[in-house]
Amino acid sequence: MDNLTATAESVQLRPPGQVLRLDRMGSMHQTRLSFMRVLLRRFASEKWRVERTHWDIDNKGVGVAVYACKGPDRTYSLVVFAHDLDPSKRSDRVIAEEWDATFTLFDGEPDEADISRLQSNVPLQEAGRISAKELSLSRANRSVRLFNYVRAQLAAGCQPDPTELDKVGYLMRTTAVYGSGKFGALDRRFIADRKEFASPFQSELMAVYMIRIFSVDIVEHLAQADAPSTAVTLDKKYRKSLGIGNSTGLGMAPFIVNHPVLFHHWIVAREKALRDVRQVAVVTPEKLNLFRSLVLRQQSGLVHWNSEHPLQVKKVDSLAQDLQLLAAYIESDVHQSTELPWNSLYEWAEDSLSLEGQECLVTMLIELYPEFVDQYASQMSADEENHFRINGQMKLGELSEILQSHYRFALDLDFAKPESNARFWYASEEKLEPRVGERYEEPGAEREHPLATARDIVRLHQAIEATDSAASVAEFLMKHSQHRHVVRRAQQVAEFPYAEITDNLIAHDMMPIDLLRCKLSFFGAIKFDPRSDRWVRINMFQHAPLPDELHGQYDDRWIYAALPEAT
Amino acid sequence: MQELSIGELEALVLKACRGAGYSWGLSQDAGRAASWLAVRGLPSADLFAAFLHQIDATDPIAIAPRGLSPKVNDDSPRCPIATGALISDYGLSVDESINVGSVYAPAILIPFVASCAKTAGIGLCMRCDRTETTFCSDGQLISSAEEIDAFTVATVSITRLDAPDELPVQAEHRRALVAETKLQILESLAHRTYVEASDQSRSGAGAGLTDND
Repeated sequence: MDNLTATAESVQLRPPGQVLRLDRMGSMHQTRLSFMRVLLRRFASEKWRVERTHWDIDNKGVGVAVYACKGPDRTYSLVVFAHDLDPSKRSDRVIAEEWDATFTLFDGEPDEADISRLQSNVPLQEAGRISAKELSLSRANRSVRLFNYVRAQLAAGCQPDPTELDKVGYLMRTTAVYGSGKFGALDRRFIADRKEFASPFQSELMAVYMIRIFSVDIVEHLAQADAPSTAVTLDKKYRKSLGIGNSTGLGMAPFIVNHPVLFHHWIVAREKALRDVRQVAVVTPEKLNLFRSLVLRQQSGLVHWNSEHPLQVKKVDSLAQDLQLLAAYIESDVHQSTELPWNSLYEWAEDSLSLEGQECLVTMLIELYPEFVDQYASQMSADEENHFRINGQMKLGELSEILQSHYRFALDLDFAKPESNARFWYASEEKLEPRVGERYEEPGAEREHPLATARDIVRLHQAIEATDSAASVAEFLMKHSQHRHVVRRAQQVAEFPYAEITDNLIAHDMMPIDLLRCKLSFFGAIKFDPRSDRWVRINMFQHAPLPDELHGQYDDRWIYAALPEAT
Repeated sequence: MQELSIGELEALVLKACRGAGYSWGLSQDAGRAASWLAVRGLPSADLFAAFLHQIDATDPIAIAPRGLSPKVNDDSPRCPIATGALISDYGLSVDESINVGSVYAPAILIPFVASCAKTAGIGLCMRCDRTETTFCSDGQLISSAEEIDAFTVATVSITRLDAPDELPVQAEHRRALVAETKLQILESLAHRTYVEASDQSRSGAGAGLTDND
């Protein structure tokens, strides 16, 4: 890229205070660096084989199946327990107790004893136990309307109407995918040195990729059981058009707050990729054409981004307008003649497009240059252990400077105002899952979890202002242990500036779906469909290559909708 | 005996300490210390359960150290979590040796002293009464006397040790074993951090919609 870029430092990284605001985080899109795409690139480059190795499911859809992902060094197996669920028990909430199917990712190939042990535990999900031989635990429910429609069509010997498939985009949706150490699973630390797990969440997404295959296999199986003489299988093109859904609530929101050093690595990788593209000095006709086609594909994909949530409807509408503006801008002379064309485009977008449009542009820019962007995918893990210790020899004066330079957003807030201090994060007794409460209306605020970073930083700042600045952090914390969690964060942020969300997570108008969308965009999710301010449905692996398409001509840009067919 | 993943143990000890009245920050240190002990095969959960049970109903602040010497601590036993955090925060200079004084459940100090050895890049020896626990300059545990696990209180000092820079890689324990009675102690303390469900809290738990669509 050297001869195509201007001087290395001509474009700066976007500052944390710009990137890590909730409204922008809630507008982020998947990129080439998203974990789902990293996984499939590895499958393709290392020629992984994904296949069904066991199928023992009866005509009611009850039984066991096993799928295997076979890589150059190891095999991982998805063990599936299929159930016949009473519709009244079908809930997308974490407080459900039964599901259409339950899954675990087994480290290796399970024998009969393993399957028997798993059969007694996996269907129970949180109420069961898995072992150090398992890497994840999950479950899924059918998207009943679409599932039953496809089942009936196939049974009648017909293919489904693609318009109907588009309305939902998947046959089943997962409601939780538990990984590292959860409910007895092996901790990530023990597999982090395997190259296939170098990027975050690879084992969880490997399981999800296989669940997607199962979701079609089971509908075909039931159609066959319904009408053995007439049933057909689903055409490959329709099979590919179906992803796997996910319904996600608050459970995953605290993760990015509780793993600040890791979160920094995710964000900074994406920001460096963007910066490198903005520094490209000469845009070749090939890259310009690629960009044009990406804009068209985004426009084409928008038609299938369904949501009833008023906020999301508005965001999708503005994105549609933004994409038109973008398409017009790149054809203009202004664009052709500037020194750093992509940078000019980006700067224009900041002034002209909605946040949704700006972040969609970021995704498309990063997409253009795999040759120098993909390296950042290998920098998205972190050794959190090494950055946990508090440096107690630091003087309070230095700590105060860190607060001044990294937490201005917090120090400017007034937490005496009820609207700034309106919410509290806690764990519910019922399912031990994270929830958000109204501080002044609900009981339990005294059991608040430490996610009120901005408020706690303000309290820390007030306390150190009242103490001699020459005193050491160790001395201060010995007397004021209540500030310890935020002192650790502040010291981490000084080294990892993208570790902190620069917004108030307990404000009255804070929307947890913004946190969810940010995290899910790093996974590679698309079609965000909020069901409330704290609950979102998404689609994963839609249009992703099927197992037999992972080799040979692997389509690395599968995630973008196809261009509309010429008529 | 119940078998926990290391992550489960860490989360459980963190919540139990919080439930026992520790600050979130110290509870995080305790959770991290618990996982450090467990992967080295030490009876981590049992140590924390026994200690937290022993001091239950005591305000952690009342047994927090006021410094690192017996004198400032009135010769009364101090909390190993807060003492450990203090040792780890300060770090030790190469020539220093500290007479920590009397500490509850001193085995809990081990991960904190290890962190100190690693940060300073020096070998260390922690004496608890007549036992010795020794650390490499990379923070790895060289040896630890089994008796230390049983001490409910001991007098602790830390001195420099001429130790190898590193040890051969040792296999890590992937599971933490915990006795049922100890698990109950930790779980009942952890329970104090949960908020009882109400209709209002349930309404925030999901979209509130059926999944039959």
